Amino acid sequence: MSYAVLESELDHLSSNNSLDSILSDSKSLLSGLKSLEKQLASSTSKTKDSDLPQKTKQLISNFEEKTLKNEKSINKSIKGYSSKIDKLFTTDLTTIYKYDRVEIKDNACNKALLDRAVTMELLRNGRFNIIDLYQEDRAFVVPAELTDKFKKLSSMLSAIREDNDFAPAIGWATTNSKNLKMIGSNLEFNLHKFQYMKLMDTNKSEPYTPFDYAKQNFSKFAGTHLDLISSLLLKLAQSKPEEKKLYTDINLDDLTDQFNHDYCKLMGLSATNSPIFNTLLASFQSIQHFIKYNKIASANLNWTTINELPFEIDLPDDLKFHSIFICPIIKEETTKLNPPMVLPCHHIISKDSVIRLSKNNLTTFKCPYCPTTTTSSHAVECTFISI
Amino acid sequence: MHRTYKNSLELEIQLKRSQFKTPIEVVKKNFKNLQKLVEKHNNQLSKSLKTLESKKTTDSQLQALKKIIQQQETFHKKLAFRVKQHNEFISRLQCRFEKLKQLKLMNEAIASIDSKDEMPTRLISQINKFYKEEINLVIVDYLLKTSQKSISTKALDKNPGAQLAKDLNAEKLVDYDVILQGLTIYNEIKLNKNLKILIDWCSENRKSLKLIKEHSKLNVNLEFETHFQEFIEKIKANELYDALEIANKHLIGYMNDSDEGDSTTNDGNGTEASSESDEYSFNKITSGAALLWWNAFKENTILRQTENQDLLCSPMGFYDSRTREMDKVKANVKPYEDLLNDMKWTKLADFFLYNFNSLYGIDQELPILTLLDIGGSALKTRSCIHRGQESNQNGEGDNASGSNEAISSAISYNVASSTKQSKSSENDGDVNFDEVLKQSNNNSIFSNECPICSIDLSELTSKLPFSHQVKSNIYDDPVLLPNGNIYEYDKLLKLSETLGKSNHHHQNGDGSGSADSSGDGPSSSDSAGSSSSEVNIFDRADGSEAIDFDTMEPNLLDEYKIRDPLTGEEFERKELVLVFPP
Repeated sequence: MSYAVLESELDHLSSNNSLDSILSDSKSLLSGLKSLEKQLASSTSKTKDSDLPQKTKQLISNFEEKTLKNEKSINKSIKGYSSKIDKLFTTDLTTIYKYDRVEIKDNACNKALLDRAVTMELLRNGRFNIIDLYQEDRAFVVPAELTDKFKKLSSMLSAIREDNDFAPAIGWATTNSKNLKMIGSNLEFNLHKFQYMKLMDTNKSEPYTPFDYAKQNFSKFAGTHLDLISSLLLKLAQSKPEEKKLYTDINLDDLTDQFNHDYCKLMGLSATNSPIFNTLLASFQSIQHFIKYNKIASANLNWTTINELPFEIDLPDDLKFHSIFICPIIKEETTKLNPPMVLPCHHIISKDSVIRLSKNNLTTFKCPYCPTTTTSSHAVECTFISI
Repeated sequence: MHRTYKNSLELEIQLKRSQFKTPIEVVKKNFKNLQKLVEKHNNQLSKSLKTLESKKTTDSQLQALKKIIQQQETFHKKLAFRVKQHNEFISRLQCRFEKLKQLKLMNEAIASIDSKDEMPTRLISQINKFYKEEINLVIVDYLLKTSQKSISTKALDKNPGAQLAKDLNAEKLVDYDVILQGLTIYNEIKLNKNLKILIDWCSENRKSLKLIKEHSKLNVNLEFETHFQEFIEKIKANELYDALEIANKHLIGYMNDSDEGDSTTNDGNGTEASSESDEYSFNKITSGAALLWWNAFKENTILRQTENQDLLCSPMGFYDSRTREMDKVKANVKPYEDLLNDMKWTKLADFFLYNFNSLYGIDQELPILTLLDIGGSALKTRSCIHRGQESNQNGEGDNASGSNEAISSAISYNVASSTKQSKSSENDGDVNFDEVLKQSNNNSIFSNECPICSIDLSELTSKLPFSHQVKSNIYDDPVLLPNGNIYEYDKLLKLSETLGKSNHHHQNGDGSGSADSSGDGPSSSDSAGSSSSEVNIFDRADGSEAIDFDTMEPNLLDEYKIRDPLTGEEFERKELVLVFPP
């Protein structure tokens, strides 16, 4: 297996210290020469030291011999690794994908689009210094208004993470209270909850501060979070061992994730990750399918529908973003031209199937799933919507 | 149940070819230089030894010995640099292998978990972290390889890719210095027409270039192309003698460098025994010779005179016999014009980079693009909103199924609203962030999570094929509203509840920030008492496993209206219908 080969060759190569030996030999040669120099300098005799050339020569040839040996040894390790890994890599990433591609080479527009997508990923990660360099390198401009939104996010997040300071985030959540509710988020409540728990932590001896805080801020959540609020208030009355349980149902990382999520969502951006991030993530999960297919495809197995990959890729659930409806009759994915239709019996088939079953809308037909008969005029077009 | 991200170790290794190849190429090269250094030093030492032997006095011996020491010192410094270089690149290999080890352990941990059990959150976050790092590397690689500014290795902090690698503590995982070296030469050739740097690089790597030529079955050698360009430049500058000298020294040799025994190539067509590549070189050289003539000729010919006439613009031009003569001449001289054209520089730069990448085992294509192709096509469904392709769907409801169109355009609200703008900016080839900014100013509750539908990527991925879908993927308990929209029951109730709540609490101008959907009056049930009873009901509904419509208390539910979050329409609870996609 490649891993084992790589491991042993690399082990061989990295444990070979021949070059370091050459270096230390060179150093000892140097000090040898220097001590000869010292002897010579301290010599009182004016006539030449007849042993010196021989001694020097000895030192040098000693070094040369050792060096040659060391060179041979490291050369062998390098060559070994090199020839083994050349054989190891049989898959070429560039030949895996054989369909229409994203071209940027002679397409300035696509290049700019890609740069923009990458910038959005960097913005989300708060890499503002990189974006500055990036803009300088490519001569494009990210509007300060956009950057500022992410800078704001980043500063609120770091206030939470680094200083345990929820105030900026709560301020933002209060202003956007209405919109947060619209997306069904309980972020505002969660932030207050953390603030309340922090107050409890810092005011262990007197319960009034957290209580006042609760009174002021929890009231508007009474309609939705009454049970949680009461258990939170109960904590005030409880003794110490219970305190540790406070953070269990949601931790700080979850909170910052939620904040990030909701903040981006309110900007109309994808909430979990940037589009380019999710696409790259999906690609890591899909490569194996491409490789597998390429192996079969060489045996002339081609059933390609135009403009569609010839094989299925089953992505993990969190990378499935659309509701897919495969018409059970024609076994095809519904499209805008061939949308799903609900029959009066609440079974769903595609429009093309309705037309086919009703012989061009002329006759009544039986639902393929139940005994109900109906006409095409009773079939209603529908849309699957994911929230 | 939960399928997690997992790639086989073997695949992951295959994807990391350059990571394990580039450093060893540097190590090899470094070692060769070290050998040369040692050899040179040995020669120097033996010379100095002879001098030492010839010395007659202590003083002169001392002088000679000092010289040897000095030589050894400079050698030692250079040697130390080489050894440091060697160790650096070996340590990169080790770091990269550590990552594989991580993956191996992770995969083993995943495999050991019973498919029925939940994944431990620690493992999940470990996996997420691993892929996040992988993706970061892809981005670093992209930033590095497409940097438009030549940057000396001393100003690495000015390069976004190198700086990002540093910020990520991933310096050992990217051969930023190697990549930037190639890029610097590339940009020098392309932008500054700097041949010297290329000539130096070629002579430094002469052997490898020959191997690359054979290995990738090219019929051109970079060194030949480089000197040929040098030759052309001399001609352009009218320095004919220099041009001829270059041809003599560097180009003629390529005409028969592989067939030693046969010397006939010098005079004739070079057909005998001469390989295809020699023929290529030969043709090039002959065209170069013709170029000598053409360059002198083109300045003062009839061509120029004719071209200046207005005739070409009028229909008369077509019937004028000279025009057709001109065309013939033009066709004949086209190859020579091409040779003199500045585009040659771009081609040469590209060809250099090809050779450079082959030498270091760097992918010839940007990994980010290949991965975008792969991931993009895997994600792309026929439900994805595509600007450009289906832009008509965003127009005013143009057919009978208007309600449906309205919905899709409401889903695509953010995309749709910026369609026009992006169209016009597309024409200028000018992409900017305005649409993103505009979107970020719309507070919408429907952000589409799909990357292919996003402003970021929808246009970029428009050419990619669709994924192949064979299984329906619909949420459990889909309910149909009378307007044809189908929602996941639980989520619809929950959202409807919060929307109802927000109506309750903010009666004035609620929801105007959302899509074009608000405007409908607030929920009719807004007595303070019913508010808390609603909570109870829906808490219960959330908790129960299956939905049993009949067991719900009808009078309370009737009071509560279900609101379509997309259109804002409100419906009676009893109007909801459970549908059955098979």
